[in-house]
Amino acid sequence: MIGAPEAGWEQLVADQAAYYTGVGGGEVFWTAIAAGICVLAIIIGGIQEGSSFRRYK
Amino acid sequence: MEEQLAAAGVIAAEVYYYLTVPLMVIIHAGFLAYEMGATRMKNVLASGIKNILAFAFMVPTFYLFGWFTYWAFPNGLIPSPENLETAFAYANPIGEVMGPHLGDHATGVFWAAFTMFAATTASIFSGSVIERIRIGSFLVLAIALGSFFWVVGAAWGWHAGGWLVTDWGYHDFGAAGVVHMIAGFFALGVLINLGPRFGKFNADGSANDLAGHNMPMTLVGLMLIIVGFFGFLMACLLYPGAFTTNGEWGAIYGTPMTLSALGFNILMGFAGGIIGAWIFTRDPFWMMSGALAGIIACASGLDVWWPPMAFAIGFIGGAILKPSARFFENLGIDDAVGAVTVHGTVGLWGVLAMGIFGSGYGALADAGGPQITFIGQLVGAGVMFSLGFFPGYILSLILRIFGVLRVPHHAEIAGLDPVKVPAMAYPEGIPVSPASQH
Repeated sequence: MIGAPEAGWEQLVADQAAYYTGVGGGEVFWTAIAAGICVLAIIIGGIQEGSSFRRYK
Repeated sequence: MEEQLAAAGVIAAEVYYYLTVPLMVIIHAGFLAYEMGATRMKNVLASGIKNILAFAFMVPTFYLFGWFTYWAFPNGLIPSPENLETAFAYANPIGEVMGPHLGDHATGVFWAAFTMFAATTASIFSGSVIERIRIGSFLVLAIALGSFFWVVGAAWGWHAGGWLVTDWGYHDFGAAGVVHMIAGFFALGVLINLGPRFGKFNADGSANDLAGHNMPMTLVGLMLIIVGFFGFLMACLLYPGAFTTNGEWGAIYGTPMTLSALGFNILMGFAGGIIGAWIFTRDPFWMMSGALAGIIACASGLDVWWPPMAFAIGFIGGAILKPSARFFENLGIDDAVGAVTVHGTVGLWGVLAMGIFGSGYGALADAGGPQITFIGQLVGAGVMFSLGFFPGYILSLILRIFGVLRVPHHAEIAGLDPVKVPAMAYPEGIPVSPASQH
């Protein structure tokens, strides 16, 4: 698992902590990736659709 | 012992809201079947793709900013510092609780349930614009509606701290205004700019029926939406103990509510809507739309209606479908599936019915809090109409000015499937029997 903490499961349960980073913070990088994929997908999808319309003429 | 009971209550609440999510996914299976059935054969897969993508894009965008919007905007157009602090604590997309967290059993299931509300809102809009909208523009509009504008409406009118509730006593248990009016009138705003399908209207203004290719699929789809609505309305309650302070179930406003009330009134509204639509149309499409209309008509007051009253309110919801659809058609609006009528007009009826028949109940749990009034519901209806119509109109106008709103004429005539879908819906065709030729 990316970013897996060094502490074992027992410690995490005892700490009631988030377990995807181990340091209690969000993953800015992956959040930005998700946002970028959404934006790019709409742009690329629109371009592909436009190409289909031009090809079919 | 008390600690163990409290822990069990939290786990039970988590399970309860989690189970509403797959039920609400059934709404999308229903919308998918409904839209594809209402589409002509040459466009059927394009409609399906559009519907599926609306759902898909709601998930990440609601994660990134939709959930944050709900918590940030209850007090109006500009978030207050207190609400911003709450939003950053509960809904920051790079915050600790917006992911697996052993100390937080609530955020994920609440976010998931609300995401499904967002996806439902976008799906409502999706059906009205079939057969001629470009996919990129559709997605921009769906995201704006599903991950922002309806969420603002929810922050204002479906939140115990929302200004429509605290200042005007607005009451909308099942989101007739917050989801259905906003989505229906957003669709109206877009349809004005999108224009009708080619062949819908004649030169003299009379309308042609552009029948979908599979009415049975549409009917089954509408019934699946009804199934999913039980999950939607179930998710509108606050679980006793875990999220209310008096050990009882509550509406989102903290006011009293029970699953028993939902059991009575959803079914009565559903039945009244079907019967109302049947009597005035005899048309199976409008009958099943009547089922949805009946529930939407009752939605605002599902917590307070006496069941026979819910039946009557639902009956009226079904009865006004055809006149409303005809009204919009006479204005030159081509609403392929009646979304503006079923959700906009009937949602408006639902919000006002709350004011007509439910005035005097407290809008919040506090004894000294605002009461539900007709004026408050009217103000709320005006706000919901505006939150839907004006963004839909303005955004689609901008897209139209840039020439990216509607598909080219040659593509619309040929059919969107042969033009842009790398698959065939019916590779062997559909057999036609003489009995179907009438």
